[in-house]
Amino acid sequence: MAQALLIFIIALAVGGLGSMLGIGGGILLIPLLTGLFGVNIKTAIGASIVSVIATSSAAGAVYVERGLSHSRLAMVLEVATTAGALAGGITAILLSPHILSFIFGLVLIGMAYSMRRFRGREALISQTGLLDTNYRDPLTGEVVRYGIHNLPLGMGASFLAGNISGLLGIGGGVVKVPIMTLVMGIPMRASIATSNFMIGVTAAASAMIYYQHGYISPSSAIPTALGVLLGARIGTRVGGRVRSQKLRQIFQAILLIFAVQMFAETFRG
Amino acid sequence: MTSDQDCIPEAGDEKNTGQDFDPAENASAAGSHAEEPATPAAPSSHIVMPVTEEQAGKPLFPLEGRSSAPASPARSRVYVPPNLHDLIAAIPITPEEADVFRHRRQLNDIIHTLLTVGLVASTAIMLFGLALDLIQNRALSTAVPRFDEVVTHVMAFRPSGFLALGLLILIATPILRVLGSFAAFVHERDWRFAGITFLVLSVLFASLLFGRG
Repeated sequence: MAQALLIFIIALAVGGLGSMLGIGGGILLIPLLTGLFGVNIKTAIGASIVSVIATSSAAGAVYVERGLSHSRLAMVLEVATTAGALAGGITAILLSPHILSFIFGLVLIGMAYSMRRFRGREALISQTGLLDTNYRDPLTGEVVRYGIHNLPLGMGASFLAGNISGLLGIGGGVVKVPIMTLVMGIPMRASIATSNFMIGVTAAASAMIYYQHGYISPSSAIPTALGVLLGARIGTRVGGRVRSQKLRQIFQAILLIFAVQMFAETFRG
Repeated sequence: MTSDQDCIPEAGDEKNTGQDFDPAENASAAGSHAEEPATPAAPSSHIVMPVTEEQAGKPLFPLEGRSSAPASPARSRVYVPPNLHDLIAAIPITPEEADVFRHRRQLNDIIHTLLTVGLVASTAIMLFGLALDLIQNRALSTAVPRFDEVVTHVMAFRPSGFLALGLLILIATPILRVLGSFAAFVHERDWRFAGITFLVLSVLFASLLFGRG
């Protein structure tokens, strides 16, 4: 009971921070759950997956209202992400917790690195005749028309993102959004909204696997999901998205510390 | 590949539309016409009104090749007034385009409702389960019943049943969204995308099956 309350409070903080940085909370939740509460890594992944679905649905309701998400593109890429998640989920069930911790540590380092580098300009935004669509930018009122570039590469990246999502219980937006903006020529707003839609569906695929293997435990998954949901809501109300370089640097440092922790868990016992 | 049905079909050069668009002008134009009665063609809550050139004063949304030339009768200007929930202001489109656009908005409204209901229902059921668990057991369940036992647990009023039900509704929400997309594509007779969506549903079904290990 006390533990559930603590998990809720931590998830609240993670949800708030995540919404300010524009990331899902999974990458922080899993090391916190295993490190502070001694939760089995697979159960922590299960809890994270559930919270990923919750935030995806909550954010999706907003994006769909603004007409930002490209549902056809999402559906095409989801074939790859769900297949990746299915493979990743089954792999995660079979792998030993130590190896999972190690992979998670590697992903944390990769993410800290990509946060430093990901300041690139958007690729050419133009109509290509492939899944052309448009949306009205909520801030400028400008109608942005765009099509899809490099679909095969995008499919490959989506499979990888789905695979990481299924394996480690994170959303995978960190992989997809840069690929969509830099390689596929999708405007940033549309990328975030479309990726968010895909994340929910992808996480649902692996969640069903984790559920049936008993790795979704109410005592950790429910306080986590409720905390992240409420935290993200507060985060968007209070701060919106922060562009502060300092916050990003602090976040990178946290990721590296967690990476060390996950490596330590790899070689423990 | 042809243009996306979801979209307002191509109506001009993107560079031009981007630069010439003036949000303030659209806002005022939209405000001044907001009281006009809806046409019989558009009885839904999302009112789509035809606007002539004089009514609008000048083109709401000048497009290359159209701003100077008079609009052909077949492509009379129509705009969609904003409502509180939508920042989409005024886009000159043909009645056919307006139909597509209204359809897209209706679909978005349905998805919005689905996501909201899914979240609220799952949260409420999980909170109820938590309260029940604390009252009955003074602790939280760590395990969930199997899929096929969830209903039995709920009927027996066991906390784990409600906790599992809340979690499953949460997990099912994005899947229902995909099912909704499938229905929409079938309704639009867009067989290619219905097929792609079916593929996604198949993978989801596979994870339901293979998940049992």
